[in-house]
Amino acid sequence: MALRPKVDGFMYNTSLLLMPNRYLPFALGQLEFLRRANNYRARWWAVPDDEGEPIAAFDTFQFQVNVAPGSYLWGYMFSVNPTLSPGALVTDLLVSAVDSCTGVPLFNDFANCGGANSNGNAKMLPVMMSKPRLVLAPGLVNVEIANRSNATRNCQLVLMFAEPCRVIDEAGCEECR
Amino acid sequence: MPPSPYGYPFSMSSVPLVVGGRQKYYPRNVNNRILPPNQFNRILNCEADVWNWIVAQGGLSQLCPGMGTIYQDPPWTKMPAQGRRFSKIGSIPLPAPAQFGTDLLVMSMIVPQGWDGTIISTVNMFTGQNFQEGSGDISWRLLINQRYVKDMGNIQVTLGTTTQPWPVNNGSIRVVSRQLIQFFANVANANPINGRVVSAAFGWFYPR
Repeated sequence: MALRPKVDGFMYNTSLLLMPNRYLPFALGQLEFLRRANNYRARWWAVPDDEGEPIAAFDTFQFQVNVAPGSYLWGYMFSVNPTLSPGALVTDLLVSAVDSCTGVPLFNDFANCGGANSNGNAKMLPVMMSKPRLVLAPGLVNVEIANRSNATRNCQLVLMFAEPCRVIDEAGCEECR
Repeated sequence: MPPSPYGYPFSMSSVPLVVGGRQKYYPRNVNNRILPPNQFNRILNCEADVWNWIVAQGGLSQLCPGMGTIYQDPPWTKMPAQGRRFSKIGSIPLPAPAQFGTDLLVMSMIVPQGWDGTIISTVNMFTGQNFQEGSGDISWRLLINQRYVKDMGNIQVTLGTTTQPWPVNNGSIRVVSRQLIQFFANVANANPINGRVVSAAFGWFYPR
């Protein structure tokens, strides 16, 4: 059965040229189930949550994101604040993200952020994963950002999740406990 | 079968989308009324069910024993019989003034292919005189691949000696196959004299 193309934000972006043999159409194809499923909503998590939180020279910042169990991580992007960190090189920052439940990492080691940062010109954001990654209960993702420069840096990694809508009642409401 | 990670029981294997007999969709909340779960939700729920089942069985390592060597104890806390110790020690003379403020490689090693490992103790020390602890005269940096180990990217004090290495906070630094481990030293000025800058890492490797 042929389905009509899903019209969503990816289709509305006029800067995207959906060349059939490039990465983006294939990644969107892998995202098809998630795009067509109902009862999911976008939830973007920023790490660190406060961009003003500096990462000291030669130091590693550690953070745990607590997403709704059953969320899908489908993309990410990264930025360095040029006002707070003038002259900073994005390539001086490395990131790592690991599913705390399964121990399966997003990258096999720390990955250079240069590939996840917009250069304001040709690079397409967000970086879409080749397949959405399911995060099981308890929905914890351990994130580390390593600064290998000799100066303090302010940056932010944005992890893009599709979060399942849940029935919130007194028994399931974390805030009610 | 473990419960669905979603708050509502719409897992394909547990509760059908329709109420039996009446064949009518039974919404649980406002979202469900507007956008009821469709066949794509069921496919996603199937994936969640599979992964929850894997977790309930003890994870991938239990279901796929061929993934690696099974150790009785975590091999990074107790060296297994197949483990091999390493004691990598390096030293450099004090640099010329032109190299003050430059990171200089003191020790370097690569974790063998197919082996993981753990660094249980390290050493960074200066054998001469006039080194003021914590002054920044000398800074040591421990790198794994291209990143600095947490809190070991700017060490300005002596930690351990070659005969009594510093235990890494009574823990260890885990490393994996093919990682490059490097100890750098940065001499900032001419205060330290008559000595060598020493760095070392001790631990063991174990086969995967």
